[in-house]
Amino acid sequence: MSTKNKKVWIALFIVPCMILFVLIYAAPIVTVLYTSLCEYTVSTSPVLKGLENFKTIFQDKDFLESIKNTLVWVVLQSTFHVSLGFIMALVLRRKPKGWKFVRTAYMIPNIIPTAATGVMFTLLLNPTFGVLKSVYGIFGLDAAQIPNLFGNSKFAFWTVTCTWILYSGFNTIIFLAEMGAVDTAIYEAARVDGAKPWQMDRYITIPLMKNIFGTCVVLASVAMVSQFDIIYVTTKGGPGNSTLNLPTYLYKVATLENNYGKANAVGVIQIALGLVLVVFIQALFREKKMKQEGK
Amino acid sequence: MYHESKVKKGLLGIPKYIFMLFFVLIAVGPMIWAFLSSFKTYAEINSSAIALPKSLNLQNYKDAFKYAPIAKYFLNSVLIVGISVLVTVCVVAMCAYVVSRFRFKLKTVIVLMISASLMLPAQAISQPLFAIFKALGIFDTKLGLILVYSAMGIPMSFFVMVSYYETISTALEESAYIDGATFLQTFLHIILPLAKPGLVTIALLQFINTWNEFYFALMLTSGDSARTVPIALNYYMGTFANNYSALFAAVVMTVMPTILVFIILQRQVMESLTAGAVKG
Repeated sequence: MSTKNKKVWIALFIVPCMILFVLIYAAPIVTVLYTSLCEYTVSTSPVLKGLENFKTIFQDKDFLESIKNTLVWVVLQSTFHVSLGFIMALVLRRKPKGWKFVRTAYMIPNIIPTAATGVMFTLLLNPTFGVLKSVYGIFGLDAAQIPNLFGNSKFAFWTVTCTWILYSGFNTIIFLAEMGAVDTAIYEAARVDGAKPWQMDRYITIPLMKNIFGTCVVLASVAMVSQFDIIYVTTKGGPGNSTLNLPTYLYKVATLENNYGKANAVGVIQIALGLVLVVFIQALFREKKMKQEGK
Repeated sequence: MYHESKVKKGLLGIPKYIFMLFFVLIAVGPMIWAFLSSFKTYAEINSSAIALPKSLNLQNYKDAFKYAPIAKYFLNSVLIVGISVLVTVCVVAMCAYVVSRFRFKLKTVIVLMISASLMLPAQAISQPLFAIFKALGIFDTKLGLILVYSAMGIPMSFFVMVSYYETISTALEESAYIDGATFLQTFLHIILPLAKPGLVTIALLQFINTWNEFYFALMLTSGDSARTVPIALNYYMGTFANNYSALFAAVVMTVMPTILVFIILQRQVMESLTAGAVKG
């Protein structure tokens, strides 16, 4: 095969992928970066205005609230949620009776459409016909006192959080795969030396999971930076701005205010936040690893 | 001694099972509740949330079909998801192959670009996509969603495939070239058959991600012609506001296909998701 011929084939194999990539990713990213600096609405073409949009959003209380909520969710998800998946993996690793069933059942909420999860919780927690009514009935409480968990700003944030933070099956299977790859000779040696099961987890399994922990934390954080579906289906960011996060704020600015320049400025912040988190988390886990090796 | 260790194990065993049972209930409880409720009449749903349905009443399912074009949404989903899975698998199989095997100009640029978009939040690029699609006349069409979904699958599938190709020895290709096989023949007859497990992995990843996709479908459709199943659910919330018994049936029909695929292809799906997370 001649080199020229080979070059033609390489080009032919790359072009389809790149066309799609440029149309759907590259062109929009360039547009977002540029139009975030423009005055640009549904009825006007982009006109360069500098940092106006950024000034506007940083003075908007809703935007600041949405950043705060996004960050709280990132922190909760990358700590509690990931750890929960890890604990489940530690339990299932010893293959107790029915572990395969538990693994599958726990994974199901992670593979169904998130919009469906939102609808299901809306129905489940509905004050007029949801489960709370039956629970109140059993305890003989006044049915008029049933809280509207999604509709009351006192509860909405935590109710929405509960629709995803407990469902860590995805992390569990990642950890289980990684635990399965650990050389069994290490555990065998520890057992011979008289190590107890919890000691094996503490001194063998957990240190070996550092890297994959980093991966799970990155994935969980990034997922929270773009969390939209459930919030949109259940509360649309409300009541007030109690469950507003960056994606829902962006969506509102783009579709209700029809202010595209402002929406794209929010997009730039969203992209930047995602990148900062990825770099920060990777640095965090890398440093820990180096320290350990240094010891 | 023996007795003591047995007691300890037993005591540790009970919290472990309570822990597992609790999370199984949390995970599948709402779904089972929705499934049971979908057979209840409107009056039964209102009278008690936890009572079992009195009979296998299919009226809710009939209502769901009557008031909303559910069959059409399913057909849309099947077409859009099916074609985008095919497109992603084809373009990624080709692109990842040359990236993993050859050295050429722009290779680093391509790899960098694709890895930069791995973690890109969908919402950030949605307004420009909306504008581009309006300009191209593909807003609110199946073609539009197919293009977005095909591209959306590229970053993760690309890295899964590159690392899969790297596990395939180059010796076979070299001997094929010596025997006079062309580039295309080698790729189609030697590489692709060996890469099948990798291709299945990315196809499953792409299926799950696109079948469940909500945001782009919301932003880039406005009518029934391209609405997919998850987006239809949101629309039922409004339509069925006063007839929520039909909403239960609609939810059950939405989650069923993914759950069935997952249960049938469990091992492969878990492997795909793990590969996607770790290699991507």
